[in-house]
Amino acid sequence: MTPPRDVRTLNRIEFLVLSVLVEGPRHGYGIAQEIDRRTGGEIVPRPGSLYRVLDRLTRRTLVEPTEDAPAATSASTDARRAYYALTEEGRVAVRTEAELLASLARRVLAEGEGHA
Amino acid sequence: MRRSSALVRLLLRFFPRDFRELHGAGLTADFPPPEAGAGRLSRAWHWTRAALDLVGALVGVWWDRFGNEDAARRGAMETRRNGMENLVSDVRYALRGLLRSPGFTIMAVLTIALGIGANAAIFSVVNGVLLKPLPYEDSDELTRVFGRFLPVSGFDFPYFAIDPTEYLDLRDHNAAFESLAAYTTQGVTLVGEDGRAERRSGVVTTWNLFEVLGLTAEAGRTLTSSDDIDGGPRVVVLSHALWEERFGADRSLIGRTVDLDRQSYEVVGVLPEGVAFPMPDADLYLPLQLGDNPSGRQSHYLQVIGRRADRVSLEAASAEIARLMSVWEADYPEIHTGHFLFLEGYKEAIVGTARPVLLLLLGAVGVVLLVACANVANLMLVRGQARQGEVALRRALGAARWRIVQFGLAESSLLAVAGAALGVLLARLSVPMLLRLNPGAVPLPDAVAVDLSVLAFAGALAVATVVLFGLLPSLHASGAGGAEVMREEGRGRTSSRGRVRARSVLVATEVALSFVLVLGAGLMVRTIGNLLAEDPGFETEGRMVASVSLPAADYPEPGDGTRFFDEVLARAEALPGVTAATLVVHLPMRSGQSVNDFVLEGTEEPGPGKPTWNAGVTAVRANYFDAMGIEVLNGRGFDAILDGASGSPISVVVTRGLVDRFLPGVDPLGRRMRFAGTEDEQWWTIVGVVEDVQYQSLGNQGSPMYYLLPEPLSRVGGSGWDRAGWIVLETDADRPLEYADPLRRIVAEADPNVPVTNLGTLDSLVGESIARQRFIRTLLGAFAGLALALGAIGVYGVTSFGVSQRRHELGVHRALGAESGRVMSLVIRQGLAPVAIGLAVGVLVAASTGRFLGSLLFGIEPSDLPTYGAVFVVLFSVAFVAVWLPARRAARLDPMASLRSD
Repeated sequence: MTPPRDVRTLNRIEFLVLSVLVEGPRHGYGIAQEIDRRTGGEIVPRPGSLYRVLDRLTRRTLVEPTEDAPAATSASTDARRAYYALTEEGRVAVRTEAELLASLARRVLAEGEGHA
Repeated sequence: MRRSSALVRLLLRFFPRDFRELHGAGLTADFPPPEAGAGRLSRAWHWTRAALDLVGALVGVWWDRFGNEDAARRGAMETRRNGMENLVSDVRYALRGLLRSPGFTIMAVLTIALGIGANAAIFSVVNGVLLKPLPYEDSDELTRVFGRFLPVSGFDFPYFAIDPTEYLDLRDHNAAFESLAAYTTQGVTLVGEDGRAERRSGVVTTWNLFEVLGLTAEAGRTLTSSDDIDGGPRVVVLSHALWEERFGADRSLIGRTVDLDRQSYEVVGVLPEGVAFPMPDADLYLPLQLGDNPSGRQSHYLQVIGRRADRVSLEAASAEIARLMSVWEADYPEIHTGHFLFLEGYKEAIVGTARPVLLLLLGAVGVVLLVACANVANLMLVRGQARQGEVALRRALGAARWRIVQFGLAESSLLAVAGAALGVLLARLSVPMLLRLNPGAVPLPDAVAVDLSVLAFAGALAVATVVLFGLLPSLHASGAGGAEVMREEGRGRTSSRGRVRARSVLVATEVALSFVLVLGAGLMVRTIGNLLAEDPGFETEGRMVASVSLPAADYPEPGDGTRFFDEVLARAEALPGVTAATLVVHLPMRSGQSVNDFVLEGTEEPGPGKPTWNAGVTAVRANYFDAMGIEVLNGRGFDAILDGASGSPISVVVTRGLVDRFLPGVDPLGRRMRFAGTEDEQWWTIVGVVEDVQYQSLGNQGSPMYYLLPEPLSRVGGSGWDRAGWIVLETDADRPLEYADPLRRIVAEADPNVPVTNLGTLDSLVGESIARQRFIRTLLGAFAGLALALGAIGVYGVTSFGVSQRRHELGVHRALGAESGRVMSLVIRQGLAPVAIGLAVGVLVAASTGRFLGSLLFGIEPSDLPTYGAVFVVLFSVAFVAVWLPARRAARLDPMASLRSD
């Protein structure tokens, strides 16, 4: 039913969310905390903007709400909260984006060394 | 925490339902509470950030949904963009499109600019006059106190000045006012060190006026209570304008003296710039020095203004004054029966009468904007039609309807923004002209400016116009079903039916609105015509007027003034071209009336509770009626010889109105009268009856009049009647003001310390007396003209576009043998159909809104049939021409050419 989508349309925050979910389902607050940790506090999504992104990714079926909460840490489990997991499509999308970014990053870094 | 989640729950309601169901719980739970022990400020900051975040998300989520609604059907190009990028590209594309069709763009922008500009101009007047507070501290506490005489008192004056004893009584017996000041205005002759005499407006006031107004001196001080005692010092406070103009803003002037009315006054202070109390040209503030009990409640000449005490509303203060008034009525029944004081907000007292006029104009100009919007909507529909194919193609390729509408709105917004910017510019240019149009028509002209609030108003109008003229065509355009339109487009034959209907509705609307405006303008034109047709009762042609006032210090004795004017008038009369020179104390249409009680011999002297008789009284020279062309109806006018000799009986001349009202069916000649309450004085004998004069303004005669010569009047009526007045020169010049300089010279030679002021002509005075009606007439006329022109363009545009769309059909008609006349009448009939509907609706709307104009009309009913008829004919003729031009073109179509071109 769902037509194919152009997978390269991930902006930075979308990419960050997907990349966090690669390691397993999380709830919104957990995602925000993890982004905070990974970017060294550079990017701390506010709840409103985070859920807008989650909404968008859900509607694009890159992410789906899930019932099975991970047994990661008991502190971060909460029955009332929705957990979000990557769909297969999302996994492909974040991987493709990561490869693109990696190749771009390599070129930039190589360029930088060349001039150093 | 609780507050935070309440906020989230509230805002959540506005998110899409599926969003709420899926993410709501998480979103609510994830909003962190403010840090424990955080101060009030940081908690407030916390909630603000939360609210901003949520509102941002709210807008974003809806945007995502709309922007991506038809994502599946859109091409890959559009998928890659988000809403903002779409918008930017739409604007860019719309701009390119508009620049490609400069004709349409200029037409649309100009139409919007005229609509918004006219509205911004009128709004800046409304804003300055009605909305902005007056430039005084807590200006809404300022309250005017007026006297009122009901007919039971023998007078009928809804607004009247106040007696000094009344003022003192009021000041000392109320708690509603923090302070109450009394003042009166009078001309003051200022003689400079160079010997130049100049007439300036003086305000003679209790010392606390400045306290009431919340004003402090810019230099020196204002008046103090020690200045304001009976026999107090001669001190004066100057306006900033006078200080700058005459004294070069010299601070050392404080403490020095100036010559006012031939007396030395010490300058104690200068007011800050821009004070315009009680009128813009007030220049000299002198202490009133009333004393304690200066009058017997019968000498009404003071204006009173007060500042209400804190938290006392106008209603509460009025109630308190009303209680005081019942005390007065009980204590002084002979004076305070039907005569009392009442309150009015200061601002209301200034602008009250202008409010209905300004609101009427604002309404009218709003209608102009509607017509302008209808016109632009029409243009947009035409343009949309031309682009139908393109839109259909985009729809077929999967563009969302919303995206098409958005594009249309981007185009409308560009037009509206450009139109609004140009409109504000037009307003800036036109507002000063507007105020100069009819001086006196608008109160507080200095407060009128095209400022930020006008800018905001224009901005709001721009948004409103986008909705009004942009949305309909955009929805129309987007609704065009793909295949069907492309088929039509391929043949280029008929224009889609809905669109034609939409355009006809717009044309009918324009016609209806134009009808209402043109009718309003027509009624005002008739009103002005009726007013100008009113006979003022005197001749205006070739008459120059000027006012002259002699200082009492130099002309103390009765007769001093008479001798001065004798000399001046005789020399003026000797000027070549001057046929007569005369003098009157109260000039019609300029100085108002001085209304006094009188008794007629053989009638009962007026007493407590009994209606007195009163009429306007003034002093005139013997040749006044001749020089003014006032007709003597019965008996004779004054005679310098007969009436001038001392010891001879005093003659009085009365007007027809006075006879009709007080001596109906009686021969007035020989009857005797005098001021009420002057039993010891000589009776005056009525020697003549003259025609009534419109004293207040054209169409407002005021009280009937009785005239006396200056000298007898100053003997019984108090001094001053022979020391001031208006010189009237009857000349045979086309421009009577040529005599201004000769008259100034004559007066200066008689006394260099006496200035000549208020030079003008009777013609212009009469014109100015109906300034407000003229103002309305001119503006309504301009608006009506604008609406009519736009309406005509609308009708023309629709018909002519219809013809070009149906070239083929019309060509077939012609080829099949239809005569050009038949083709023409076909086009005309179809073109006039919406016009007829519009006219019918216009008549109905006008009939139900006519009452708004009612009180401003003169000599004509709002439902005047001839005016309706004339306006109907005008509109129909204009519409007919607008339809006939394209119809003629249709009739001249070469059938073969139009078929080939297909």
